[in-house]
Amino acid sequence: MTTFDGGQAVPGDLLDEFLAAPYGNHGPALRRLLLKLRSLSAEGKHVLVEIEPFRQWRLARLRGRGQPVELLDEVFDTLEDAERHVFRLRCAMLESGAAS
Amino acid sequence: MRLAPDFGIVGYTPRWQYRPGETVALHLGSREAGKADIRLHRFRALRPHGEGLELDADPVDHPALGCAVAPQRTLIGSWFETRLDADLIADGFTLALLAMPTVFSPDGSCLASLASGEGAVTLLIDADGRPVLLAEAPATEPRRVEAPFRLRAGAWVAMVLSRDGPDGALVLTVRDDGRDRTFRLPVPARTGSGEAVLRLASGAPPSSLSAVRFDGRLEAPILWAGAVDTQAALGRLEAFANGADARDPRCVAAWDFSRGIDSTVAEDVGPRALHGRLVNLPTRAVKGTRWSGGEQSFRHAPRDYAAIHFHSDDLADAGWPVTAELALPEDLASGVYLIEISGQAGRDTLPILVRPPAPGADLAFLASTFTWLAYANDRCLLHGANPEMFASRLLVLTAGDCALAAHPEYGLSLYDTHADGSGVSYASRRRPCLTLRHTQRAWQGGLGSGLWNFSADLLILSWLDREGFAFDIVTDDDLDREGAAALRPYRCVITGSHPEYHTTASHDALGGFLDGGGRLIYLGGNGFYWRVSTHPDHPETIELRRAEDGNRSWASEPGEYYHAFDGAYGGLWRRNGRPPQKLAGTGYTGQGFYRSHPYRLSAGAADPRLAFLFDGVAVADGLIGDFGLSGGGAAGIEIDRADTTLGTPAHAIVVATSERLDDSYVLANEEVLVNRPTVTGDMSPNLRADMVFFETPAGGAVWSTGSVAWAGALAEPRPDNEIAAITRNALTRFLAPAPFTLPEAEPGG
Repeated sequence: MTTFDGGQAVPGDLLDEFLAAPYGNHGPALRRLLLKLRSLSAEGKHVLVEIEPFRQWRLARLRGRGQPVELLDEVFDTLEDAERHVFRLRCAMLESGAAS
Repeated sequence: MRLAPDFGIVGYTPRWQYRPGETVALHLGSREAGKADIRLHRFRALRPHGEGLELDADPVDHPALGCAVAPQRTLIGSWFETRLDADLIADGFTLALLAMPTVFSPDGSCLASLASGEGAVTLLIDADGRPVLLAEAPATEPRRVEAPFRLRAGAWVAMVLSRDGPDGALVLTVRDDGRDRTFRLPVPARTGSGEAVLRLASGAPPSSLSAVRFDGRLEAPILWAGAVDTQAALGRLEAFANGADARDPRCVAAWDFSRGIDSTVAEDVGPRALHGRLVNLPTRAVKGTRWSGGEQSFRHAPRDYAAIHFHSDDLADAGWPVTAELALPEDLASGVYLIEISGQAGRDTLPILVRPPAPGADLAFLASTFTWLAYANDRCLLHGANPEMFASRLLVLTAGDCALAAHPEYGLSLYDTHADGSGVSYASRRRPCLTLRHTQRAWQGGLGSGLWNFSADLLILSWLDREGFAFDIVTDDDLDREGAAALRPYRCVITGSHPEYHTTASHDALGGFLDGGGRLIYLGGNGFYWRVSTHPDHPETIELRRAEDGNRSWASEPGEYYHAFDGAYGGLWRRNGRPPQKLAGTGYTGQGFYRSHPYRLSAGAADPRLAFLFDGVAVADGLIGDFGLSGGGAAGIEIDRADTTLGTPAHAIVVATSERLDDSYVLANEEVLVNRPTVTGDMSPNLRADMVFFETPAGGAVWSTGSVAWAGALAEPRPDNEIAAITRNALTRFLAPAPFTLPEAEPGG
């Protein structure tokens, strides 16, 4: 069973499965990976900020208790694209050990 | 969306509910100074519009109203304050108390301060836990000295702070785990006369630290005139904490925090009745140094609960001035109204509820004002907990969430923890509550509209308006104040999507209404779940203890399950002998915040007792509600199930049950005695949404949908919306005069 500990490359088939359908019915291995990634601590976590409700979102990062949100440059026209972008970022963090 | 707030202007009304003709005080602040116009609108509907939602609201005629708005300062954090004649301590003073800091703020914490005239002395604790003495006086440089030792977060210590005469040094002795350590600060001669102000958990009014607070518990403060021998003071402090009389010839005051726990007064049991004032509701009914575990309620052992827990982020009253007053027209119909405040600085839109002068409809919509308040300023998505795991998708922050992140001074919700990690037990309306907006959307609302709580309840009101059902608004607060009498004029009560929090009186009122033959439509999930209390002195505040069980974002400390407001045993109603199934036929069983699902009709749906429900409704394949604005189904988000062992009446019919839930759903932990891997999705037979109907002995009836997501399906604009048709049928029958009759008991039953 894959444990998704830090320093591990995310298997290509899981990447493909998520990128094809971020809101799809995912298999057990991808669900396990997503639970791991979504459980990262709040501080420094990527979130989306609405630019225009239901239409446009900006990538942002939580800065911790009592701190305003840090707005980043990336803007998305669909939530699926935002999911894909953050998934790639987090997989890279996992591979580098930063998200273990 | 129309009237969407951007929070460049932010406001609050001290109450959420008014009668026609009453005046609404508007407390307004803004990013920058400027002018603003105020307009009243009657809410009609929220409806899907293209990819988003649109608001339908009617302008209300009223005299033009404008005001000036400006930035406001919010004094957050709780403290103790008393005022005394400075002459009493002209020859110095000695202050002794027990203290347990719980976290050391990066900006420092003020444990105690004493001001007289324009000078002040302060005992603070720096970010490393090091006590610091500070003396400030006009026209002189502040003097400051740090202790050569540190305190430990979470450890009780005894402290004696004294000053020997007007020219004497300030001396602090700390007894920590039996060891005494002392340090001193020479203070220049200073005369103070008139009134002195003693504060605990805050800097002094004239000090540069006047807004710096403290996180932790304090107990048994005693103030003497002049310098008392430190060992003698420590001895008397211990005796006082044990319940001995603190009066001695030099005692100025001795505050016994075990008295009047249901108040915001700190009683002085010394010779002068210098009662202290507790500002911003620090938490009472908390364990002090004498708690042994022998008793669990402050009413059984007050001495065990002689501490007060102060938080640097407590907030009972933001204290903003009244910026404008809006006189409500005398002829306003009952309903939800939106007060728009707009100007150059931006816009806010404050909802209020208008109750009719006298009941005018057969139907009452029970506004979940306690639940809306419990969630007010929910910041769980900003720090602490990990809701993305529950949401199963990225968290999306609205303008309101971003404003909350930028404004910690607007205070916390009952879902949050304080800076020191302890749970937030009090929620007040006298502050900006940014989640109470028609634009509110949250991760809890599932995929789709994201409408949640107040805004999801607006979907039900939208549907009632569209269908032409006349209704009056009645609130949880009305039930709490007036009991069943508030509901007696109505034939039927319909709830919102999530009537989760109830007081004993509001719960009793619903029970009394049913006992009197009333009809209840519970159009939601996770209802009647947590017990809260109100307080006559703080009518816009509720208290919650997240006691021994239930889905909890934090847990009350052992020994702290009883409410300070009224001594009630807090926690789940289920743990207080009132499982929701007893009242409504269904009760909370689990949650998932991603997708919602359809219901499958049961065999019981064909029972002739339910003929009214399906009249004219075509259900081809046994499935209903495979659509909706809240996760794409009618069954989902927070869900309830029927259970006769928990009180669902034996004659109740389970009309329908959710079809196969996805793995984002998790069984409620009060259902789990030993943790197991079968608590998700369709692995547990108890994890399901049940729709239930039953008649009551008094001729009334209850219909419960068992799902927060029902409102989202109700509002979906499709030509053949069977969820809307079934709800219409239920409401039509429940509003008809003909009484319901109990079914014949089965032989041997």
